[in-house]
Amino acid sequence: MTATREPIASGDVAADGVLPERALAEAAVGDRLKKAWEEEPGLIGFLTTVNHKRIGRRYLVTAAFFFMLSGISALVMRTQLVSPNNDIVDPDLYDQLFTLHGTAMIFFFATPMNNGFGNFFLPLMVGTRDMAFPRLNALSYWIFLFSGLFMFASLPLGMAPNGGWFAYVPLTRRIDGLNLDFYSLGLLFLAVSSTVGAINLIVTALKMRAPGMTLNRVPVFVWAVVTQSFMLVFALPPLDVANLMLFLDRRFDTRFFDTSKGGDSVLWQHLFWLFGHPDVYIIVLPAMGIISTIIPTFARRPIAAYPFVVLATVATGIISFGVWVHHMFAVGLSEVSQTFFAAATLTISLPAGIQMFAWIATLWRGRVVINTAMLYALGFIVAFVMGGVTGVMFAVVTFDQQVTDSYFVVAHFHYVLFGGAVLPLLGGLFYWWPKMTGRMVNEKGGIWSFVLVFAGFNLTFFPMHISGLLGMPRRIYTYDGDYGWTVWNALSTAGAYLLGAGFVVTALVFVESLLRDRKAPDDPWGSNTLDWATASPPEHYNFPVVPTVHSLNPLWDGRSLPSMAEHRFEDQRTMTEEHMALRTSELDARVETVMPMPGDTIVPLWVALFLTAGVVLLLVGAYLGAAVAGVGVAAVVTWWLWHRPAVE
Amino acid sequence: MSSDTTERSVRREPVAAPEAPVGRSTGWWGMALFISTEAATFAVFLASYFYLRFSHTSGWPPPSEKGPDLVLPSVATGVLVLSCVPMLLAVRTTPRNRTAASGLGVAGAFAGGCAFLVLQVLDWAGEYPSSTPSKDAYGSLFYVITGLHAAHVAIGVGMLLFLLASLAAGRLGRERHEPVNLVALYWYFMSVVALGVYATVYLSPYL
Repeated sequence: MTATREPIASGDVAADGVLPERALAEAAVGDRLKKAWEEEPGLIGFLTTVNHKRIGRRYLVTAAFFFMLSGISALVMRTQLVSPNNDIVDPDLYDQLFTLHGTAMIFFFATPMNNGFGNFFLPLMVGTRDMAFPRLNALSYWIFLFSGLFMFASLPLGMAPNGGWFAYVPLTRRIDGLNLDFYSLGLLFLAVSSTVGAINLIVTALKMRAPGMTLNRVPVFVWAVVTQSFMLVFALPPLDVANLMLFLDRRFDTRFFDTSKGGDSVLWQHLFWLFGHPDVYIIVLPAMGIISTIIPTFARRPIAAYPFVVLATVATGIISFGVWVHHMFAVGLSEVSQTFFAAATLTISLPAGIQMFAWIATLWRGRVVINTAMLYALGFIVAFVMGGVTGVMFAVVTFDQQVTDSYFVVAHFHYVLFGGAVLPLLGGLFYWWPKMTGRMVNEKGGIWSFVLVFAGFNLTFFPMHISGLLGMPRRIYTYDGDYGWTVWNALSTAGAYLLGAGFVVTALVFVESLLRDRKAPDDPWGSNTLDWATASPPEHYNFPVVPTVHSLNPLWDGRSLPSMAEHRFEDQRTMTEEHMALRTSELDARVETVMPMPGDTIVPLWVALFLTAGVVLLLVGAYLGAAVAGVGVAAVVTWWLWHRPAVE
Repeated sequence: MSSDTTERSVRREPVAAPEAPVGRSTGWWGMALFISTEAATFAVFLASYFYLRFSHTSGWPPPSEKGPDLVLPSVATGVLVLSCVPMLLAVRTTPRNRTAASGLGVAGAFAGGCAFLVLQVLDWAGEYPSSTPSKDAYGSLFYVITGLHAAHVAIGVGMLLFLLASLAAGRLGRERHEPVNLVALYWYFMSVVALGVYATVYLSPYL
């Protein structure tokens, strides 16, 4: 199937940029829908909104803010390491910086940033009007925000977590002060948000797809987000259990990790990495989904081997639960288990390889259009292959034991996580910016952003492979000049500043786009997925008429888009009287019923505030107060459930 | 633009009927996934129990522990599992508008849950202070696992109370009975977990 519409060159604005099919649908029902979906304006509206697009945008902005804070802490560390025996920061502060940097980048940037894209675009891509549980969606955002502020507040207090982002016992069981309590409570608190958000995304994708979007017509991005969400549902429990045990051990003197009293410190490592390795894919899979969205659009053809890409995505999710011990090859476990997990680790490179070849085939058979989003996607392919290759090296137990806890590992996971997640997320930002804001970006500025970020990224992290192989351990706050690490560290630091400059340029490009009035049309890139069948930015109700989906590429098949105009006088597809959305069957997306959806409400914010109070009271040891806050949560939740959206 | 009107009239779906729609509700999926993540949590705890047990070389329960008392927990677990029967009654009768019967069912499950909690507290009182959460890993596992489960049962009891209030207010019946189904799912799940906890924490030390 070939694309029926060519992309409009950026900046070249069409007459009014509105798709004719959508114009017909809006003319028929737009005014009535605007009234039905109206939200409170102003500050009240800001605090009470349950609109998935506003919440998604907030996720992106908040995660970017936490990214900036963690990035600055990385710059301070790189400045400290620029030359031997530096003393810009003392060892204690350095411990807090690297722990907070890792914890925040993993938990408060990468996962929520993906969640932001999922929140904004999953409902649009499946052709519905909101998430399955809009009020829970608001709750998961507020909890994310408050848990992030809770975690970052520890740094100015001088009590930031300081046991490394994987917080190994027995060290973390013994460190005095509140540092590790900030860690365990902050992560437990955040887990509420991640779990609720994951369930919401799964149910939305299962029950709210536009009629006709059978499972084999679901976009790869949606598959990736759903796989990731299922992984969160099963991977967060081990982390929660571990953090609960750590908190109880530290505060109530339980003995889970106390070896002298029948506990076991390796238990922490098993539980942590049983979460920790799936988490790598929790971060990378949605980012790969973004790549699978960008590449077909700019290769001007459907993705190659769609069923294999989907199967590879799901397989990655499943296999990732069986590889955690490769983080523990230096612990001294039995050879049998090491061999098993080495084999599993080699296996998981297969689905990643399948996706890689599918992207290459798509590019090969397509007519490639280069722009900023596409450059980031291509940069991702290069960087992720590099990170993947060093990852396979760790499957070799003897090699792993040589380089474990060295900068080689730091280099590896930055190629995987920066190359595999940050580059696609930036690509996604450039790709979806017109849809989110209604403005086009300056292409030249975008290319500068890519060049600086990509060069800075490689200059920062490539030399770490070498300093690692030369024996430099991770997490040291300084080193001697005669170890032969000086030049590589200086290069890394130079790269870090270049990377910082790249992010400043990127931010300026986006700010410039907001200040200028380069209005984006509905579908600037001539894309294939339903998100581009909405206004830029989308109306509150997303689709004036819920379309019928006829293929995997609904905007290219010449039938799905016209169905929006065809159905414009059918009540079931327009749902104009109330706040409503269509419920469809899980596999075949057949219409089941019309669901009433809740409107804006302050209740989720109250739940989040009571929970925050409870967490802070737990931190300071006011357990009775925390129990009172728990009662408050129960009371507000009861009120919430009592006031459900009206049936009929 | 396609103008295939015949196909359109064939494909046209009936406007949503006022009676019960076909298929699973979003709420059912939400509860099913919530139960999945909770099941994983308990599975991890029970796995940790056996992990610590089998890395413990001086026997299990440790020589300084007498091992759990079996009478109270056996009764408690039995009561909780049996309380699924009145719950099932409520699930069956609510859609038929038999409010009195469904109220009786929910009240039965509620009573079973309360009895379980009382027996659990009595069981702790019997174990304490010869075994405490901070004495050794055995004690930590015992109290935290049973405590976590009891906390979940207490939340379930709260849900049942909510159902009783909804029934009293006339908010549940033929048009709206999904809340009963969802709470029932959670309640059955509590029994499954109770059996797992019972087999692990109470029975397995004697094996």
